Amino acid sequence: MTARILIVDDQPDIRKLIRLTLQHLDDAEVFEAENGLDGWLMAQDIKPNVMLLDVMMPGELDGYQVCDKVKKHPELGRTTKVILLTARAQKEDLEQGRKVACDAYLTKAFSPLKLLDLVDNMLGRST
Amino acid sequence: MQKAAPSGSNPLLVLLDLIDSALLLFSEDGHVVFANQAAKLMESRPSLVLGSDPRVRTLVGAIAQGKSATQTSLRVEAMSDRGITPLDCRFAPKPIAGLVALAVKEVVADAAFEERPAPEAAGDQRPSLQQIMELLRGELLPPIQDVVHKARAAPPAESVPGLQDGLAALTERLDRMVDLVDVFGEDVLITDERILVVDLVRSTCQELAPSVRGQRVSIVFKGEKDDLPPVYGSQRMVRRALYECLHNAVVHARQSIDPSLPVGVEIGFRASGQHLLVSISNMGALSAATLNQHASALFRPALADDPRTASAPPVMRIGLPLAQRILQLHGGRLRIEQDSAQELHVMLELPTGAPRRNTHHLDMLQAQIYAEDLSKLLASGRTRRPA
Repeated sequence: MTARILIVDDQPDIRKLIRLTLQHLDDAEVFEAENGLDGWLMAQDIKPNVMLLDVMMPGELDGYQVCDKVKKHPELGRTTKVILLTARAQKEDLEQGRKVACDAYLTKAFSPLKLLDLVDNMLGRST
Repeated sequence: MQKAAPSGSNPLLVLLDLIDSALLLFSEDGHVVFANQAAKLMESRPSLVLGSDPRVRTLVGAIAQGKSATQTSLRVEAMSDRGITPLDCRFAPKPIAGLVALAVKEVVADAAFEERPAPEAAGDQRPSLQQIMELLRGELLPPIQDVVHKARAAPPAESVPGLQDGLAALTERLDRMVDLVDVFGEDVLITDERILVVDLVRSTCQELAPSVRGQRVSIVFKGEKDDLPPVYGSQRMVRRALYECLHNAVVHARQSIDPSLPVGVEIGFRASGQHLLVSISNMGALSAATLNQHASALFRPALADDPRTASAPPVMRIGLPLAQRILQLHGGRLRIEQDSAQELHVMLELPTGAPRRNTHHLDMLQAQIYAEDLSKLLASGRTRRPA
């Protein structure tokens, strides 16, 4: 089954790099959103299997809030895995990630190999 | 200069072409071996200019040999159709597969003005933080110097041990703060902490609890919701601005009203587009019925013997102009409206979410890590199959 992966990040370079990396996944369709609100609306529409969600984004919703909404959504909460992307991983950031029930945390600048492993893991695929 | 390699089907070079920032790759002898599309489109032709710059060559050589641990950036001036264009060059600190990567950015005077308009040009009369530091120094230094003078003139029996030293240290610290801002600009004081404004207002009200209790002022919260968006910035500075506004509201609420009557201040929260609005309004004298009506929304400070408040040092007031400036530094603003002697409305407006970023350096580091690992991935012929 084709996996749907949604990248939500306000930095176009990062979205491009992640998309390039995810090309190494078989049977995956990649979607992009450039802010939290668009990401949340798109998530409800495409119902992604995995969301790669930047934490610090300008606008109405930051990554933590989007994650919170996804995890509290009756359907997405069960089916969508959320990987939070952050430029920092201090104790309080990790704690906040746990509060909104994110599935994994990836610190920028991150390795594409680690990203692929993590996404595979979230999709329940072996590498 | 050697002819820069075309990206062709080499996935690493294709990757570098995708990046919006201008990137060059140098061989260890200082020749440009690759320029990405963004670099090729620059009018200042960095691949030509930087490839022949002796300082660049020296630095490339040092990085290639692992000798340059400290200096990884420099500015080079290039001639273009627009005249002399300064180029900001930032090198990756380590070579990648024997090549030295460089991110380059044109510094265009006009563009710089567009990004940060000069106060006169933009008709913006906001004081810069440097001016505010001068203002602070102007405000604080005279009384400090006055006390120092009196301490020196006082008979020994009346002098307080260490007073002069303490004040001299304080003066020196103020000078250092001014220097710090001079060197690093305003950004040095602005961080990117995630701030939940409702929580911050509540804890600021707690700081004000002695004053609130003493003046029989009730604070009513309106519009508190769990899903109000966060703002990003310096929690400490936003707290000071909030403290100033709330303190003013409490003092103002008490004015001209019979001291035997309780008075109220309403604090409202509302998200509007990409802004969070915090309104502070004077409710005037409150009847028992009104107090009952708002019972569930009343702020109830911790008790006076609570160790959190009992040992709290007095907070220094900063004044509304500085509170205004703090909000401006966070991309927001402060509005004060007074309808009548008693009707005072204060509105704090802050942009929600993180500030729009210029993470040129992070992108460079990220690109470097991607380039290194993608190379490994492609070399291993790794394929992935669904389970």
